[in-house]
Amino acid sequence: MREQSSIEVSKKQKIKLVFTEIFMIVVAIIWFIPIYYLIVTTFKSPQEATLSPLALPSVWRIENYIDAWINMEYPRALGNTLKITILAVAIIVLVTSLAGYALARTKNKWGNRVFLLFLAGLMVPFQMNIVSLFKIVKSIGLMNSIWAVILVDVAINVPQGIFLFKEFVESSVPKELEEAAEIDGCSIFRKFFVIVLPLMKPVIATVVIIVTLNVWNEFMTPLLFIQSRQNDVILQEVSRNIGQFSTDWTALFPMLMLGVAPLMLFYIFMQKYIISGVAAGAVKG
Amino acid sequence: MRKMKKKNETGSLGHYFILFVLPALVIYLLFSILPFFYTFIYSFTDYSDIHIKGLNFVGLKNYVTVFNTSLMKVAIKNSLIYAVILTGFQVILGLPIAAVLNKKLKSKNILRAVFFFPAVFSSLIIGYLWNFIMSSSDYGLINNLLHRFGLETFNFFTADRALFSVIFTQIWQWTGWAMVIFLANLQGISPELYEAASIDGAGERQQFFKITMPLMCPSVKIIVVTGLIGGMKAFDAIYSMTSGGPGNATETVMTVMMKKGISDGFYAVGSAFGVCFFVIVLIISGFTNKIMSKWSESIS
Amino acid sequence: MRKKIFSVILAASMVAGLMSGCGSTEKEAATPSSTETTEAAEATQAESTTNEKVTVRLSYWNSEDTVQSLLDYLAKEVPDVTIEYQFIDNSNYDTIIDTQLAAGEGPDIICESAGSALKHARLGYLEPVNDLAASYSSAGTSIYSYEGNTYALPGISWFEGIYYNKAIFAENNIELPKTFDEYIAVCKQFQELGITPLAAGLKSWEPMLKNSMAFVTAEYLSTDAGKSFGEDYRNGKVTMAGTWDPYIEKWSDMIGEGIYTTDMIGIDHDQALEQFATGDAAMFCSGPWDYDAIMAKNPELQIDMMPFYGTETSEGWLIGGPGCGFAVNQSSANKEAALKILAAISTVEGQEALWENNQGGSSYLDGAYFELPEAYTSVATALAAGNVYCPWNEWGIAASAHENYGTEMQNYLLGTSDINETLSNVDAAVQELLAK
Repeated sequence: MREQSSIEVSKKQKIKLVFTEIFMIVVAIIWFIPIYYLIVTTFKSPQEATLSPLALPSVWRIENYIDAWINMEYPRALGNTLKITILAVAIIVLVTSLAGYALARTKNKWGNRVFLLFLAGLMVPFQMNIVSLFKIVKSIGLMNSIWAVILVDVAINVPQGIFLFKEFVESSVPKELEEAAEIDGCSIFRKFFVIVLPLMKPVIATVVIIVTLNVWNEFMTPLLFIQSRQNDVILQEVSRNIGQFSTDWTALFPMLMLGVAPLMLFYIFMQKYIISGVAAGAVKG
Repeated sequence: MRKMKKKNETGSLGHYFILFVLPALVIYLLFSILPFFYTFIYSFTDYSDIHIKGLNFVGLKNYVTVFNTSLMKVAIKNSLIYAVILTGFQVILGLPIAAVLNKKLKSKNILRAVFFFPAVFSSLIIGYLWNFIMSSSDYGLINNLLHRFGLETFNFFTADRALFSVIFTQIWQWTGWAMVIFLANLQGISPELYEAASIDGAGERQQFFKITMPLMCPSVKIIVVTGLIGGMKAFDAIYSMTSGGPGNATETVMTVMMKKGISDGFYAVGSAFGVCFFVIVLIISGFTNKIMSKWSESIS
Repeated sequence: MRKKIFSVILAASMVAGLMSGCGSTEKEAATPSSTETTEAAEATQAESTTNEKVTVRLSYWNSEDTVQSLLDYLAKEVPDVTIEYQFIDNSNYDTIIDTQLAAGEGPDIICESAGSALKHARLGYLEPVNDLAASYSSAGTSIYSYEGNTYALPGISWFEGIYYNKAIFAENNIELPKTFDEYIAVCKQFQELGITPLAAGLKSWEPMLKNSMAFVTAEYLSTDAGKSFGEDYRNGKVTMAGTWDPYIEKWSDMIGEGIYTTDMIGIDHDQALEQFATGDAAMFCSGPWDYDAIMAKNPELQIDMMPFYGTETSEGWLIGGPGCGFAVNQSSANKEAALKILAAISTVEGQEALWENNQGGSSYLDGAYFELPEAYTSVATALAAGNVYCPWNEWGIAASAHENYGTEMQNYLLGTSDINETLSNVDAAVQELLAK
């Protein structure tokens, strides 16, 4: 008797699951429409885009892309964006892993205070301090250098990185391993780089992903500190073409697309790691 | 020197602590804390774009101005609405989506990818895109479709709606992010709990409220705290969609800070506004932290 | 909570103190900046070896193609100076330029609006350009003068009127209006024919600002009674509320008759332009800077421009004034080169090159005169009468409040405030700026 009913239940559940799946697929399709719209519009003429906004383009025009590519000086802008992102992310990972580890292992008044100080940064939008920030950057002589953007981006992301590293070390890096190394007479820095750092791989992935998105999508810092077009980034190129008196909206869509394309590709290929990376940052709250 | 000795006694890293923390600390102090410190000091002076040298101490005058400027009150109100609604929907939509995508669906991986997709992009570009989708003209996707079915134009950018239109796009963008974090939390809940519950005859809905909800506390806490803070700080999406308009309908703390505190050159008042804002965010995060820990206490 | 804030601030100040004393800190911080300085040194070396070619940066809030001919001309005329063009979006322009100038940085040549030029001159950010300014008419240079010096050279004038689609007017036998009431009647005729009379991107605060101010100019500011309003306003002697009310009341027919609608709040400038260019609307308020864009969308389009009118018959009025003023950054390292560029602009050829992308405007330089293109036939008399005026240019340091006026007009359109409240809010913003 009991077995029969449980089979029935599971059958019912299966049907339910199929319906749920169909429902979710429909929701996901609706969810995806804006991005689909962005993609198809880039290939259309203005007329076609207004006449049949959601249809596939009748002719796949790529002139729009060529124009956008040239107008945005794309290769150069992309190169700058890459340079800034890679350097910033590398610095963030290095300095926040060190600090996060130290803060996780230092349970005294000073450790707490320093950690609090870092956490406060999560609450202060840096835009609020633009005027003084600008003066500081200028007085160090970093004006119009990508290093200004890199260092400020690092400063913006330091709190989050430290938070993630600290949490991770506290929960998943066993102290015993380190103690064993200490007995072996390892120097403290060697211990960190040889033993602790490899154990931190998962959280490094998380930090890299989150910070890459943050730095890549940061608009204000390049806008403030990079004055020459030679050094500017993709988002600046997008906004400069969307300036108040720009007019051709079908020419704009390919620019938006080129603006997001590198991240789109990054996401499509790394999708699994990105999702799990972001998730890993959250498991231990 | 004395300080270092003290550390040597208490921390396991001893005086190496400072070496480990230093690189991050230096950059952070220089580019985050020091500017903030200046802002704090400026907030008590008569600093403005036409008065940049020989600053005078003016006491709390700038703070009084902040509280007497209706625009700033509107901005704080809008930012609060923005943060609360965005965070609320991230939880309300993100949780069930995560719960469903945690089931054994064949397409769950691609579905997760689709929902997370918008979170990859810059809010600036998302704003520009939605700007076109929501335009009242025939070039706007939504109104184009409405007109096709013979329906009236739906204006997304009236004074009453503009803020919610922007929030809507941000919900679309960030729900996937919340979903992923909820999913991670869900996967950490042992399936045995559900088995036990179903043996006890608990239905699916009961299971969701009795088991899932309480155990989701950690991830909900993350989304609520980061969502509220992020929402209060939001700038890019507003900037690219409405720039604060029409009128003052979508002015938020950040847009007003940029306009008044920087463009119009009221540096000192802007600084005071920034400090007030910092205090508000501090209170909000302290408050939510308290509530959330009460919640987790009541469960355990 | 308070304790927490305090500890944070305390910690910040203490560590800041530590920083200045600690030697090892500097080493860490110095790594990136030292590479930077070597880079910079290399760059200057490279500069000095390659024939002393100097680079000056010029920033402007319009995109590069709006001054392309000028840039080409300058490249030819001043070969030893390279111009690096920096476009900064209008909504960020003042912010970025102000912060840069405040830090002793910024572009070498700055395009200034009247208000910002005055502000920057007062702060000593700008180099006086009296010698070059002498060859311009005072109508152009007066708005850039401060305490006896001129700080910017007026570019080609800008003006905004009402572009109209000649074909749509002709097909429907509609005559050009000559007064404000006739204009309203024309719009109503179009409405009855099912044609949108006026395309307007009211998502921006600009269209209603200019449209309503043009009416007030024709009705009041150009009259003997209103002539001194700008000056009095700048000196805090009058307010807009109580003075402008009857004119704005009358102008509100634009809203009452459904020419400006709340739906337009959802349309931005570019979309409105497209509507007009594709023939979906009969009229569009704009100026020469949009002409190329309109024609690019629809090369067959036949357009002309009419001026704004008051209730009385007149030649009509246009909103406008000297275009962006070219100013030299006082702290620029390349002042000589920047002045050289300005001198090259201050020639008939230079003005011609500038005019090339702003056809329709006029030059303030003595001896530079340009034919009016066909697209401006119907504003020729207004231009000839000198009926071009930009009210907020007279507000001095409070000129930037015209943006407040624009956003307040949006509020008015949306019904969130009445006329008196709208104008009072503008007054408040102006007073705040004047009291700074």
